[in-house]
Amino acid sequence: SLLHSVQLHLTIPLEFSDRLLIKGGRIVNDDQSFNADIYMEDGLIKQIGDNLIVPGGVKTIEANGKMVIPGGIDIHTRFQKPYRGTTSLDDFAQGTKSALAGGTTMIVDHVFPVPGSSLMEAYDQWKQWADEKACCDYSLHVDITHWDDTVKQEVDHLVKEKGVNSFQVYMAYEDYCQMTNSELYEIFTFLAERGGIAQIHAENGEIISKEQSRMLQIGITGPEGHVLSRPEELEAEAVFRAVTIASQTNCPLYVTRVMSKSAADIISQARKKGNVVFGEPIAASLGTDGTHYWSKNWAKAAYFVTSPPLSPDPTTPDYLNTLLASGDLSVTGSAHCTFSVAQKAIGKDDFTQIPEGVNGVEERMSLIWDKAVTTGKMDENMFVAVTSTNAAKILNLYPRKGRIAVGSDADLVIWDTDAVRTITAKTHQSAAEYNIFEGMELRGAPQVVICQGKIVLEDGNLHVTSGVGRFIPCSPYPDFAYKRIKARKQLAVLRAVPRGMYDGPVSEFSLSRGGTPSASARTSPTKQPVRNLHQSGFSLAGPPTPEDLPIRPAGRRIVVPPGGRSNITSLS
Amino acid sequence: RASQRRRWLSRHPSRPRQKFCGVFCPVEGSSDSKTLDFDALSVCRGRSGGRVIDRQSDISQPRKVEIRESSGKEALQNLDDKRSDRLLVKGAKIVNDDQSFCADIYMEDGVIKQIGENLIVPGGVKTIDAHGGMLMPGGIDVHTRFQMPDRGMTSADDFYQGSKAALAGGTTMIIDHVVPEPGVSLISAFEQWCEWADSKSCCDYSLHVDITEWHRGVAEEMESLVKDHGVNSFLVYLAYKDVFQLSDAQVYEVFSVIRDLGAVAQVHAENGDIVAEEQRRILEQGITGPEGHVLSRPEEVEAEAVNRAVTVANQTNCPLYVTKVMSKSAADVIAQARKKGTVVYGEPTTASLGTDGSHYWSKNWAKAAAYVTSPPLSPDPTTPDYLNSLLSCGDLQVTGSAHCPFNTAQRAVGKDDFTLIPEGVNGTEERMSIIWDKSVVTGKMDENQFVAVTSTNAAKIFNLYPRKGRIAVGSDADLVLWDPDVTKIISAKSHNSTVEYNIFEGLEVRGGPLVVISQGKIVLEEGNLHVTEGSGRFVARKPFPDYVYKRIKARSRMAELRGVPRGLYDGPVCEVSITPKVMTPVSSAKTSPAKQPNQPVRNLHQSGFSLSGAQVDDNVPRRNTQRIVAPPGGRANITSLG
Repeated sequence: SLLHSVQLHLTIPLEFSDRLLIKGGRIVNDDQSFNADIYMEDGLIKQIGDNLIVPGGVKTIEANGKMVIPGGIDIHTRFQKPYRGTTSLDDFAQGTKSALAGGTTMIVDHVFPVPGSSLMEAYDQWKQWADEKACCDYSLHVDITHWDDTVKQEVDHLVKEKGVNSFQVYMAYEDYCQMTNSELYEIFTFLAERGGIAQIHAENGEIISKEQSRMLQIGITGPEGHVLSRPEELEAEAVFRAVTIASQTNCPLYVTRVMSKSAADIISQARKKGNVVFGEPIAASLGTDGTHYWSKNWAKAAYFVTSPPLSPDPTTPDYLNTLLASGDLSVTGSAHCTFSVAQKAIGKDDFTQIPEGVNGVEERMSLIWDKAVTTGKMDENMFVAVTSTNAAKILNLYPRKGRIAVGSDADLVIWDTDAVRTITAKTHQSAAEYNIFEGMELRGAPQVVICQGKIVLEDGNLHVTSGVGRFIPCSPYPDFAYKRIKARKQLAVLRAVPRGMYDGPVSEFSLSRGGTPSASARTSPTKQPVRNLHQSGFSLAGPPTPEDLPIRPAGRRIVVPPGGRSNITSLS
Repeated sequence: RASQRRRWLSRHPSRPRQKFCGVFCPVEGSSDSKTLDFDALSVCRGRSGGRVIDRQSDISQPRKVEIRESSGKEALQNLDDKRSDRLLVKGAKIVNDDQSFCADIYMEDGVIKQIGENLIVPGGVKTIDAHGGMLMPGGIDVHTRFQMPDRGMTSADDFYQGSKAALAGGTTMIIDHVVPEPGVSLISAFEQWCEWADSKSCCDYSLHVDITEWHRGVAEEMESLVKDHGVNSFLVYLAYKDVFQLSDAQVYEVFSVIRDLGAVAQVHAENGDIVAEEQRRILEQGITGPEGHVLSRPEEVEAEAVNRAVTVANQTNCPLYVTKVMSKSAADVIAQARKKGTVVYGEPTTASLGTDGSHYWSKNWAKAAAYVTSPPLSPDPTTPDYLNSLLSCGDLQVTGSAHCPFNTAQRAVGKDDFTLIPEGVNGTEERMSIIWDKSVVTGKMDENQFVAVTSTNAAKIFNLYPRKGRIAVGSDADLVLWDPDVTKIISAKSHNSTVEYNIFEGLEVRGGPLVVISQGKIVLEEGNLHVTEGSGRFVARKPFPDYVYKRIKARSRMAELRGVPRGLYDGPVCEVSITPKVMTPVSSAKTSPAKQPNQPVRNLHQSGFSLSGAQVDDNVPRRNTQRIVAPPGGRANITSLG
């Protein structure tokens, strides 16, 4: 065993598990790796260095030069998600246990309020479930499933009082929780003002419902209809649209579940253009593909059903791993949400009724190590970045989470780069009967997992305690996303051109047709009194700038045209 | 009369044109072998004074056009008073989109009858000596909006002034947009536009019809327009929220109908939802001038909509045509989509090729307002050059003008609110010269590509080719003798439009028409226009243009979807509450297991049906452009896992 009890000194109280020393480890952060010992106490990292002076009664782990990495953060889970009266198989206990078994020491779950219901109530419900059951620390994203002033106030409250800084909206699921472009614009504007992160489920829901009815009409009812009705182009289109709206509203964007090459391409293009956008591929899209939808085994095919679907293009996982390694995609989640075969069979005659979700919380870190690190695409530091650090930065939890540093939480993993294991439903921690990575042989696995300063996994043995997981509040305006946003906000002050009053003839027109009825009503020319020349060129905010230099939104540089004339109606 | 002719044309669109049957009847294929000795057949053989034209051999001398009429003595037959119907252009360099060559052209009855050297022509023929000048197919302006109604006003140029301006610039055919007010029948709007154009247009015209709302009745009217009225293109709007804008689902349905009818789907690409939000925000900030127009419609919003339209078009396997490409990013999206194989065409306009959006910040309100059009001109001053480059390399294919100017008093409706400014700019007269100046003079494209983007491609896309868009025997006698060296300063003082301002004011362009021939008649010579109001004919267009639909048809055949034949699922099924969560209520109701109690055990062979014809690779499911590796076969017991 790696564990040795150091000689006891009688003066020290016996709190074995709260004091932990890792000796001879190679500490891997996202920026560098170095050899040092780590001393932890009360769930926090207290010292890092060589030849540490530690109190007695300390449990010591000999790492023997193995890598010590920050525990993984699974930024997207959906444990015990309600679906039409049933609940997804893995609850917070089962789910977080799987997470810990895979080297993930924190999860961020999605609160999904039924459209029309209160966000606060749903948040409280989720928090209660998690507090009772979670074995590791957790945070919550809240999904915005409908939009009105009440929701707005609730979002405000959640940001200010409840430690939520990320909200997901849906561009798919027509007539259920899909948002229109205008709603997206308003939500993004609002989140940008409050310092939140806008997450999106990116798929064009309107086209999907058309395609779904077409598939069913031509008699395709099996799971292959799921992927046929949701081609990757629809995902890419929605990502493009979301990027446009986010850039328009100057709001940081986070694309959940990047499943296809084209969607990933759009994200990397947008990043090249300077948009603040993060892409989250999931364990499923990084590890397997959508050819299984055509399996003759209905249950197997149904087990892969998730949205956006896995791409039938078998080169997708490799491509996504490459973009993850290059930094074009930033974080990884699992979107873990499993259902039993009987639950999936709700849709046995109609693929649109199959409950959606795949497993992945346990396999995520090993998959990425195997697909991206052992293949030489990324190094160990990048591995830490995409499995943990970047997520912590986006959620504003850094450096408490996502880094091995003095003062950080003692969530660590000793990673065995040589371990090889075969994924199978027989041995996985999830309650699901099938594992979408079934039979896959993965290199790289956690040897020891330390969560809240306690050893929860050693030599394949899990020692988890349900209910010890704490809610970690996320504060708004994460620097990682908002530094650029704030700078751009200052640049983006719009300014009207000061002109004299138009004094020429005005044509008669009927009011029946106008661009935006509300706006036209407000500024209808008849209602306007004679306008002061000086009023028309005012600026709303920001430092004064030379009068004749209009300032335009960030990223758009415009040559100022030559000055006009004093008589504004004369032409030529 | 005109409408009778139109109806006749649409009923017999394929009927060959009547051949001239005199002694000088051209031999079939005479244009193919240009060495054919017509002299042998000529009655005028040997007549010394018979040659009307002295060929000018040295074309480096200043070019000038000579138009002469023969004395009439040698006119032996068929010479009534229709002199202008017989026209001979001698010594021209004929420029088509594929090649240029020197030959003479003889036209009669508005149709090109002979092409070749030493043509034998009847007497009484008006002759134009081109002295080696370039003779090209007349331009086709694919996008005009003459006398467009807008809130009780009508755009400044009607079909007379508009088509006159077109002819003055070398454009001999226009395609106008019919904009039915929502609630008005497509057909009655179409007839209204025909009536206006028939009574006023000076050149041939055709009509696109805009789909401004969507329901079943519209689909039926579209079918009638395609089958009986010679329309093969329909425009949908992704912008103008609460007025013309269609939702994605509606666009999907429209595109599906359009593909079934064999028409071309045109799209006005801007995200109307975002535009509406931005407009509100910008008005709230107190920006009411024309600069608010461009600020509320950033080019990203255009690119996004183009991308979405491409997606829906791919999904429905429908050919797409993006009108008014105004920005670099929108053009890029089109270029990318074409690289991926999408059937998509992009139409930059005169305005986007010739000027930019910096003028929206002009302190002169009326000047700034004159530039208001949607999508707006990009404030990026490198845009025109970029678009000309893409036009030259073929990533963009056709050019229109979207000519729809309003005079200043009309624009002033929006003097306190930029969202009320009527939209549209001029450009039908300047289109060809601007492209010549910006693209050919700068070496981006050659004369043949110039013909392609100003005329031929438009004719191909809209199924007018080779009647229009090509100089060939049997084609319409719509020709332009182009002077590449003439320079001209564009100004509202001299243009043919009725508006007070020209958005290209002061721009010096090189290249312009010397002589314009429309329907076999000279309408422009030496700067003098001789147009006839109402002489323009409606040109009916047939569906399924080859240029567009060859690929679409092939893909339709490839795109059959197939279910996987599986046994019946016989395991346990979870109980569900019936009430909530309906993705597609119709479909779920249709296949709800509870409602089919008497359905027999499913035959394994039935469930894997195909919709039409068996293929060699029947077992491979696929969509078009999406090849899928078939997974290894499943097990017999479909519920077992592992």
